[in-house]
Amino acid sequence: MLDGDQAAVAATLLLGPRHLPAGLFAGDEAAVLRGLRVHANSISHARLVALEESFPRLRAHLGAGAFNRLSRAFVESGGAGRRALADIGAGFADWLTDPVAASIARVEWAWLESYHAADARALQLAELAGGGEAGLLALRVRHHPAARIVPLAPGSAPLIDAAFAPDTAAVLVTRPDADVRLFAAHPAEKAVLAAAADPTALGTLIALLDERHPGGGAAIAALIDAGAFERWDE
Amino acid sequence: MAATPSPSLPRRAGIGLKARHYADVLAAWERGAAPAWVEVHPQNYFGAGGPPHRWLAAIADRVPVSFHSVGLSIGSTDGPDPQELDALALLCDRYRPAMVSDHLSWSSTPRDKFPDLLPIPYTNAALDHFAAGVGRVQDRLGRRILIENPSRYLAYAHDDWDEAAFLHALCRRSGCGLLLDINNVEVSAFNLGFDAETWLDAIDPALVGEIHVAGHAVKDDGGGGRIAIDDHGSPVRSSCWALLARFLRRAGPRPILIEWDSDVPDWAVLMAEAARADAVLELVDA
Repeated sequence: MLDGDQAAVAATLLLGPRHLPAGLFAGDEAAVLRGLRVHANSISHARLVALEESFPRLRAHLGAGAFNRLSRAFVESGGAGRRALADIGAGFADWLTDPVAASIARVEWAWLESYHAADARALQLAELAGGGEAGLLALRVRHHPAARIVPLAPGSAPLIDAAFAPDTAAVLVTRPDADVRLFAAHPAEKAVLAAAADPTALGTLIALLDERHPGGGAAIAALIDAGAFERWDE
Repeated sequence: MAATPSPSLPRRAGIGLKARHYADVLAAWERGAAPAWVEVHPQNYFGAGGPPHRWLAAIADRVPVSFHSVGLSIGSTDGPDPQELDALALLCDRYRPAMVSDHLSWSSTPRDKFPDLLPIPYTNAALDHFAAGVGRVQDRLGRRILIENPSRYLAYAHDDWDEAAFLHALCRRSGCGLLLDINNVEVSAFNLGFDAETWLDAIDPALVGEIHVAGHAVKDDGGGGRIAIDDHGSPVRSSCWALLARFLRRAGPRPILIEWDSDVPDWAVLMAEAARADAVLELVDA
């Protein structure tokens, strides 16, 4: 009985009042439809507000009207259906067809993930001083839990931060302490963070950068300074 | 259920804590003017870390905190959402809240999650099912929880119980307490056409561990009908204050929460509402 009631209410909320079995609710039809409309509106409103709050920069870029149309279409396409409210924007960037809009959305989602990520003390450049080259290369580090790298579509970087050059190809998102920080990054740094998903010797990451990054292995300094790693002493 | 000793909520006014008021709470505490307790939606703290936890930890060090969950979906046919319950248990271990509550409702099917509190039928089968769900939550958390009476826009035609009797039976069977939301009583009474005072008078005060008061909106539906909507977006209505005083005269003091979730006002406005709730408590305690 409970299964049937809930399936009927769910179908009505998702597909409309023609799916409501006659006599499920007490009262006249107008009152029942009024009540169902409140629930349907509450659900829709909560999802749209969650998307607005997750993607303020994309909303500013597109304009409130266009953002609202897109977010409604996303919700109605089923993009939100199985997610808790806090995760509702997780699939939004991949759903967007405009690559610039998708890039902005990916950075904003990475910002949120970073904001809520586990706290950890970020490795600092000052800790590397005086350790000698062998010690430096052997130092084991791990990807900081709040660090993300997001590849960008051409032309999207200045829309994320006016200080970014138009040809910026990726954004590094970190939160070494309380504040989330964004840095222009090279796509090769994504491979470095991926390699550091498990504790890895700093020398391995430097070698990876040496192969793939225009700045060579020295680019590791900027990543450390940004708060991309935590020290792994175990 | 293995009981874990927990701090208790003061029988005074508390406020629903919003991010925009984090600094206000700490500043008020420095002045000796903090609210007696605060309530949060634990779902806002399910992330592993970050600033929300830093603020909540700082506040929880100073004033009692209540967790008012909106996501367990205890009434769903599959029972409480296991991921939500695990996350809530983790958060309870971390903060040791003075109270934990959720709603007499459901929010998900195996295929969909609805960010709303949907009504359950007041049938014998639903009572068995919901009481078992509350039992699972209490066993997992190792503590008694409170269940809140919902704002109702619909009543099932095949209900076996009236709402107050259903809540009493639920408390008896599961050992949970009642979070009495007086604004919800008003909203439901308006929409379903019952008398709020009669409903309130039927509630056993011994079951009530916390009270919510809030504002609601009444809107035209465009077709000649009107509906009360529980939007928590305005001051507590005078009728709600009157119902609160009526209940407290019979029940004695209880922790009272000012719920204000949309169009959240300035700190001073919120604290003025809390002061008004404290004044009602003082009157009934005199």
